[in-house]
Amino acid sequence: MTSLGGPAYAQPQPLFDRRSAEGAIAIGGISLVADCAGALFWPEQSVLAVADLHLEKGSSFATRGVLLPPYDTAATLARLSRLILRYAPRAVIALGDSFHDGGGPARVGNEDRATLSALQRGREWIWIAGNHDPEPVAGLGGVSADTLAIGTLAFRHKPASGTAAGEIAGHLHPVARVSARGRTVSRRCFVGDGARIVMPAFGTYAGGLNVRARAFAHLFGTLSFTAHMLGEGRVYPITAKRCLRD
Amino acid sequence: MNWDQYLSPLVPKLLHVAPHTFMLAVGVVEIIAGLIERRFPGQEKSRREVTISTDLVYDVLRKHQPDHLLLRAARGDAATGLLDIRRLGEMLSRIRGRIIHKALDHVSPLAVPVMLEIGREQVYGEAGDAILAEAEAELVKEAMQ
Repeated sequence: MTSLGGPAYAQPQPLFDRRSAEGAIAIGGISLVADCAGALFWPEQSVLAVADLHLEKGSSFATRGVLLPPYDTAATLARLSRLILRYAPRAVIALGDSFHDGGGPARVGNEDRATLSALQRGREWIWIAGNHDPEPVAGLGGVSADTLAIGTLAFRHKPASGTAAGEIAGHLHPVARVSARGRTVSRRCFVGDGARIVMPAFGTYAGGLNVRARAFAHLFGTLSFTAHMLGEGRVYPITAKRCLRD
Repeated sequence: MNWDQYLSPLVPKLLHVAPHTFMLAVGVVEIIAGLIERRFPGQEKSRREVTISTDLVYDVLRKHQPDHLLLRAARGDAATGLLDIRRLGEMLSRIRGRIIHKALDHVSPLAVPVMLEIGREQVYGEAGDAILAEAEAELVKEAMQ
């Protein structure tokens, strides 16, 4: 397990008012900022985490003859840029499946390479290994690790089975559905129970898995979680009972 | 127009029908508007990666290539395929002045299909936040008990 050592650096002042886009999610007594763009920010450590970027998913499908518009990497990085500008983190953690396949890093175009390199300037950048990208990321900056521990929190791609206090994971691409006044809203979401969090997928082309699916019951037990749904303006905590199946 | 070639091979796999049948049945616009997300009761998705959500493709195309053939076709299809705006306009001018509004104390038979769609309609954009806020209030209520 890699550790991010040393005291937190002095925090640069953020450029924008952050309050509007935030919600708080507590995990093991630590309060994290849940941004409605789908990222977690840990103010004390100045760490920003995003999960399941699935960069180069468009080009990955193209190699198999499925021609999706190829702008997904640029779109995902643009959304990530806005977050980095907002929080000015000293470290960024990409929680695995950062690339849709092992050949992804090599296929990143020059413009997107430049964007990524600019985002990494002046901060640590950690690529956590995922099931889509188990090998260390080559030629795109940053360092690769299987998991990462910072204080009492553990960052890994796939949620561990059984109880895992302080775990922040991705992999499952949670999406929640709620209904009110005869209308239904389906959004990506964080899922947490105070002990662990599963983050929403950040990738523009990433799909979603309903939080009522079995995979989540294995982690949280039935209906004992809160889904923090990503709204346009903020994150909305929704009790598990309100979350509908597909 | 041969629409089959614009349809992701994943779609027929998800829907178990031939691409052409599917395209004729629902039209192009619904596909890029994301309506193919509808699945069947009891069917649980086990692979997150399978579904390329078409509204994501739509958003990306609209931003980066707004004149894309698929989007132009979708706009054309929206005007005629889903709801024929011109026919609707003609009908409204034909019946102008002869529309009777009557509040019924029960659901009329012709309204049943519409009633069945309530709650299935997806809400996009900021309007959805009002619904999220309402669902959120329940959590607060629960916490206060």
